[in-house]
This record gives sequence, structure tokens and C-alpha cells, in this order.
Amino acid sequence: MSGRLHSRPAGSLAGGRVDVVGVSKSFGAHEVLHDVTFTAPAGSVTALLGPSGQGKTTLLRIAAGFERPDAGELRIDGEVMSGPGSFVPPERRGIGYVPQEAALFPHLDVARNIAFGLPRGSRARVDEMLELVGLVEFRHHRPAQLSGGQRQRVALARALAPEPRLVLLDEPFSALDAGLRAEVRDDAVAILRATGTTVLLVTHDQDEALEIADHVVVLLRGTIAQAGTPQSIYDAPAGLEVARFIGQANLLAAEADGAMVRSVLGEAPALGRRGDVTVLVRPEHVEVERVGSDAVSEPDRAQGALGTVERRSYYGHDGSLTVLLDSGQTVVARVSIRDLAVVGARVRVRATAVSAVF
Amino acid sequence: MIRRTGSRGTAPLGLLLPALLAALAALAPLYYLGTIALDRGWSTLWSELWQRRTLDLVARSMLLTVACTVASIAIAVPAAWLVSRTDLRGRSVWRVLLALPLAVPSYLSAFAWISWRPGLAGFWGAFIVLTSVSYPYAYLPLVAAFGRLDPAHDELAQLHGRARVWSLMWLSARQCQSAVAAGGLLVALYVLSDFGAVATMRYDTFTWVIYGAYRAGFNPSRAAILASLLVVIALVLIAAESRVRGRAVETSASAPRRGTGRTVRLGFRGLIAAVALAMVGAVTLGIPLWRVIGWSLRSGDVGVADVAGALWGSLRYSLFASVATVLLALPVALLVARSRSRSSRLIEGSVYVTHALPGIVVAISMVFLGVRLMRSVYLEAPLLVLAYVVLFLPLAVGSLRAAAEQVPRGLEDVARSLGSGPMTVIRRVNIPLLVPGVAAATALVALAAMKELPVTMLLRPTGSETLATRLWTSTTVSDYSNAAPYALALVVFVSIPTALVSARARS
Repeated sequence: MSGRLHSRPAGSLAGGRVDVVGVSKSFGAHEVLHDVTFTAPAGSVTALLGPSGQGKTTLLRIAAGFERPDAGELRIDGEVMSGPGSFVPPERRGIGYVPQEAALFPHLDVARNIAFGLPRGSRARVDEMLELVGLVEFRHHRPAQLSGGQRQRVALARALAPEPRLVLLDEPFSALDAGLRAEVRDDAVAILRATGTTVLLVTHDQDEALEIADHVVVLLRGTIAQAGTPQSIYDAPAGLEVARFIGQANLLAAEADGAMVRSVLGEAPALGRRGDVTVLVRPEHVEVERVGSDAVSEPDRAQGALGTVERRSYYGHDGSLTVLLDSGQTVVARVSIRDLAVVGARVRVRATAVSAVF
Repeated sequence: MIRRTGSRGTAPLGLLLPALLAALAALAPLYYLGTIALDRGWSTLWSELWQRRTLDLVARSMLLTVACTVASIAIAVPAAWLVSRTDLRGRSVWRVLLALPLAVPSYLSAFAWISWRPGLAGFWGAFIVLTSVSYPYAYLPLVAAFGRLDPAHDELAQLHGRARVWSLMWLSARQCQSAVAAGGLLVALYVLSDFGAVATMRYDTFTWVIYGAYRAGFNPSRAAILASLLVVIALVLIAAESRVRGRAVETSASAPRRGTGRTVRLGFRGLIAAVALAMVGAVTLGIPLWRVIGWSLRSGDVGVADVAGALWGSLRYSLFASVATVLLALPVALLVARSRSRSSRLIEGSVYVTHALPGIVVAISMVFLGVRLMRSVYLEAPLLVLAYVVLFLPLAVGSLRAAAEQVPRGLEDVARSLGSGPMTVIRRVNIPLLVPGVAAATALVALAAMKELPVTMLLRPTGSETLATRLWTSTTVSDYSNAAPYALALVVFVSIPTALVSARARS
């Protein structure tokens, strides 16, 4: 479908900038969101990332106007949508919404689903949207006759048809099976980027967020743990919890003296920290070297640590080793196929880089 | 992910007001009944209640209710198990056939029996007839509950040596205890509320005695007091039923796997089972049908015009009643399905309460209401239609609510995001999706009104006749050959369509 996507659909607007300022929300005694503040730049794809039940969906529903915040303000292009004493209902916000289960209107065919938010006689726009999502020949099908992926595409077309400033996606791909998910997701993101609209995407899938978003907002227990580009969040997580949640993490006890930090895996710059700290070493920064069974630990920590391969995972393009160090800690290393040692082998592991010191 | 329900609390005023009106209409007769029961003060009320004849009446009603409930469960459990868990031949035919007695008016069945065996009048006649027509209330929920059971349980039981076929049935029934209990309570409520069978069998239970108190010199306060007592007992049953049903749904939710069609092999026992089911069919359907056809062959001097007139009367009132009922039920069903606010729960509760009102109670209350407040329409069509509305509002709300709840909340959210306001969403999304449910509810109410006896009898406009009243008058004087055409018309125009509509609604 890439051929169609190089041209932007005629008449589409640039996306709106979304400002969330100090938003809080409770259901009964349970506070779901606490003082949440972030900005989704105009035209960006912003992922709200976090484990289940941490307030992501509530935040999205507040952005849509399905829920009202207890405190704080939500603005689109500077215009207050929800705030103290003012509330714009969902139907007047100019947003598109794609829920997890697509929620197509079962009594309407594909074309009428897409036309739902358009004024009467907008046939040309419907044709354009059908073309965009590649479902022209399915115009008169009922939702029940479509596959899961096709339904999501219709839901996307329906949301985009009225040219919204902001499109809200609530875990839209998680109901699809793994094989289909990547394909539907890539298509959807390409379509969304082609329209230039701002996208807020709720997901609990960190790989999905890192892959497709320009901007990631990590929500933990109703507060923002970190916000930034995927790379900044992966490379420099703001805390232990974020480090654990985003990607695989080896978290090791270490000592720092201001200049250098020393852990079992070796030395690294201490980034000004002193005392007992924890270092984050990503598996791809762990180097593994096979040693003879008679090798013994040397006092020099810069050499790394000895251990035994406990588990071996083969991914095809590469693999990973779980190594039980003689000191009792467990370290995961991402290695090339060439270095994929067998279980039980003696190895020496060393950190080539430290991502963060906490 | 936890579904947030915060915004469900708000209900548009356009729904709330008509729903409130429906609730008031449903509760008005009950309120009026209460005031009449207390007309002569609390002391009269207590002395009426603490009488030998009142206590005897309670005992007789309870005896009949308990006997019919036990017998119904004894039929429903094996019948439901055979059609849903075994390899019984012709299961799909049996499944429908066993539900059909639901469509037979109790007085029709009672006339059939008493015309054949006049000696059955009294307890045994009422017991046979009421068990015949009410066991489907226990059977239908059990068919659904057994269908949701995981067949792995049967397989495991067989692996553990419990291969005896009947012990497998016992095992399934134990797992569906709540469904058995809920069905039994529905049977009890039906038996307690029935007028036609006990009236024909001259068995003195609440409904027949209330009617007697009303007829005998119009003793309004005794009729009202007994009716209120009946309502209290019915309310207890309905409260128990809703509690047990809640539990039944919970237990079934823990086993989401649908039956995979693997079934218990009956072998030669299948033949015994088929003979037993055939006997149930013969007693519940065969005998009434045989009698009706028998009368028709010896038909008396009933003119086509009389039958047509009665049919027209039945049709006219029931059509008005069904349209009015569904129009009032629609806002209630939409409100209840959309919003869990206090006001919507209150409205739902008031409509649900009227579910416990037996026909004779609604009839008597409406007579009081008509005589004292609405003299101008007493024994006119509007009051009859209003009584039907009160009686069938819960039926319509239940049927529409099931349809309304099938609209996922996500659809309404999406429609809002696409620029539709709350009332536009109802018009463009909820109502179109409700059309099949509305059609089914209208048909159900119309058919129920056509076979209804006590309300029709007491409130029909002077000079007009319906199929039910014609049949009633002929049979009170044992004129069975004259009753034949009306009975046949009831079977053809009411019972058969009722069976068809219920079967459709369930599938």
C-alpha cells in the first residue's frame, strides 16, 4: 500500500498540539491520574505507555471528552477543551477515536461507517478514505464480513474521514494476532503520518511504543514517570521502574566515587555519583567471552566477572544468554549467533557501556 | 484493563423524564391498592389477616405452589439435561417441543382437562395444569446453563469412574444449582399469580379468592388486603429470584468455554428417555390439543361472525396495549442499559417490582382506580390498555433491555467523537440497533395480552368480547362445543405465534 501513501489526502489539516496540564482524576476513593502534565507536539505520534491499569486509558478518555478531569486542563491548539468551569463535549472537539475492538456500527456497511461523521453527500471523501485504507472493493460489506485487520482499517478510515486535529487510538492493535499486528500497525502508522494529524496512542507494548512513536510518555501509577523521545527513554531511563519497564535491563549493585562506578561487570564513568548505587547495563552492552573451566576470578574488577551459562535463547538473527555469576547475580547478554555458548559453559562477562546510574 | 464506568452515571433528560413517567404508571395501581387495603385502618387489616380462612388460604396456595415447583424441577432437570448434554435422537426437535407448553394459556389447558375428567377439579387438576404450563420457566434457563457447562467435566467424571449416566446428570445439575433455584422461583411466582387454572379447577387459592371477594357484593377492602398479601409474597419470591440469578450468572462466567458438542452417550437408555419425554409432551400438549380438536368436531351453533368479533376484540386491544407498552418501556430499557445512576436504578426497581404483580391484582387495582378516580374511562378501552401496560411493562423492559445491552459502549463513544450529541447517538446508533428487539417485544406483549384472562375479564369495555372472555363464559357453563372455535382460534392465533416469537427471540 506504500504507493498510495506518498501523497497526502487532499484537504487534510495539520494536526493540533495537545497540552495536558496538571490533570488529576479519581474514581471514588481510587486516584487514577495524579497531576499529569505533558505536551504532544502538533503532528506527532505520541505514545502513552505503561502497564495495564495505570491510567493510560482514562487519560485518553479525558482527551476525548468521555470523562471529565477532577483538576487540571486539557487544551488542543491552545483552546481549552476540559478545564475548571469549561468543557467542550466530545462531538465538538474535532477528534477521531479508534477503540481496541474497532467498534464498527454493525447496522451500517463499510461506506456508511466511514460516512458517519461526514455531512450528507460526502461520497467523494468516503471514496478517498476507502482508497487510503485499501478497502475499495469492500464498500458494501457489513462489519461482520470483515477480518480483524480490515475492521481496524475501517475504524481508522472512519476516524480520519472528518479530518480531525487529533486521533486517539486505544490499544488498537492488541486484539489482533501477532502475525497480523505488525502489518496492520505499519499500515495504520503510515496512513496517520500521511494525513499529518496528531496521534495519541495508548499501549502497554513497549516495543510498539519505541518503534512507532516520536514521543513516549511513560505512565506509572497515574503519574508521568518520564516523557521524551524513544531513544532518550531507552538510553537514559529516569528511574529504576522505567528502566525495568522499557526493554530488558540488568540492574547491578555498584560503588561510585564521583569519578568511576564499579560493579561486577567492570568500571564506567560515575556521572558524578558517590556511594552505593545501582547501574543499568542493557543486554546488548554485555560482552561474553568463553573461558576454560579452570579460569578463576581475578581481584581486578575491570576484567569483568566469571559465570556459568544458565539459559540460552535462540532468536534466529541473534540470541541471548542468561549467565549466573559466581557472585550469585544473574546477567542477561544479547549476543551474536557466533557467541551463543551452550548451557553450562564457563564465560567471562564484561560491560561495554553503562546506560544509567541510579 | 479495567473498564471505566464513570461517565455512565449521566443520563440525558430526554430519557429520564419518559422513564420516570413509565415508573409512575407502573407503581400507581400498587399505591392505590395499598390505600384501599388500609381504608378501614390497621386493625381491620390485622383482623382480616388473622382469620382461620385467610390462614387456610395461605396454606392452600403454598401447598399448590410448592407441589408445582417441585414437580416442575423434577421434569425440567432431566429434560434440559437430555436435550443439551446427551446424544438423544432428535434433540433439536425435543428442545423446542419441551418449551411449547409455555404458549398454552393455563385456562385453556384447564378446560381441556376438566371437560375430559371432571373429577379432577380441585387440587389435582390445578396441580397437573399448572405444572404442565409452568415447568418451561425452569426448563429454559437450565437448557442455557447446561449448554455453558464445560464438557471436560463430564469427560473427567467418566475418567474417574463415574460413568453411570444418571450420576453425570446429577453432577451437571449440581454445577447449575443457581439456575435450578432461579427457575424454580420463576415457576413458583407463575403458579402463585395464575388465575385461569385455579379458577377453572375451583381450587381456592389467592387469585380465585380475591376474585370471589371482589364479585361477592364487592368487598373492596378484603379483596385489596388479600391482594396486598399476595403482592408481598410475590415480592419475596422475585427478590430471591434476582439474588439467585445473579449468582447463576457469576458461576457461568467462570467457565467461558462453549460446549464443544461432545456429549454423554445414552445407548439403550435413549429409548427410555424418549418415551419419558413423549409422556411429558402428551400430558402437557397432547391432551389439551386433542380435547380442543375433539370439541371442534362436535361444534355447536357458534357463528363465524361471533368468532371474528371476538378475534377482532382481542387483536384491537392487544395491539394498542403492545404499542403503548413498548413506547413506555423503550426509555426505561435505554436508560437502564446506559446509566447506573441512582435515578435509573430506582426506575428499574419500580418496573421490576411490578413484575411480581399477578394479573388479578392489577385487574382489581385498576377497577378501584377506575371507579374512584377515572370514572369516565371505567369499562372503556383506555383503562383496559392502561392495565395491560402496567401488567406487561416488565416483560417489554426485560426484552428491550437485553437488546439495548448488546450495543457496546464503544459504539456510543465513537459516535460522540464523530460529532453526534447524546440524543443524536440514540437516534442514529441505539434505536436502529434496537429495531429487531422492539419488533420482538411488541409481538410478545401483543400475544401475552391476547391470552390474558383476569384483566380482560374485569376491565373489557361493556359489550365487547375477546377470545379469552368468550372461552371463559362458555366453559363456566360447561358448554364445550360452543367453546371449541374460540379455543381453536386461541391456539392458532396466539399459542402458535407465541411459540414462534419466543423461539426466534431465544436464537
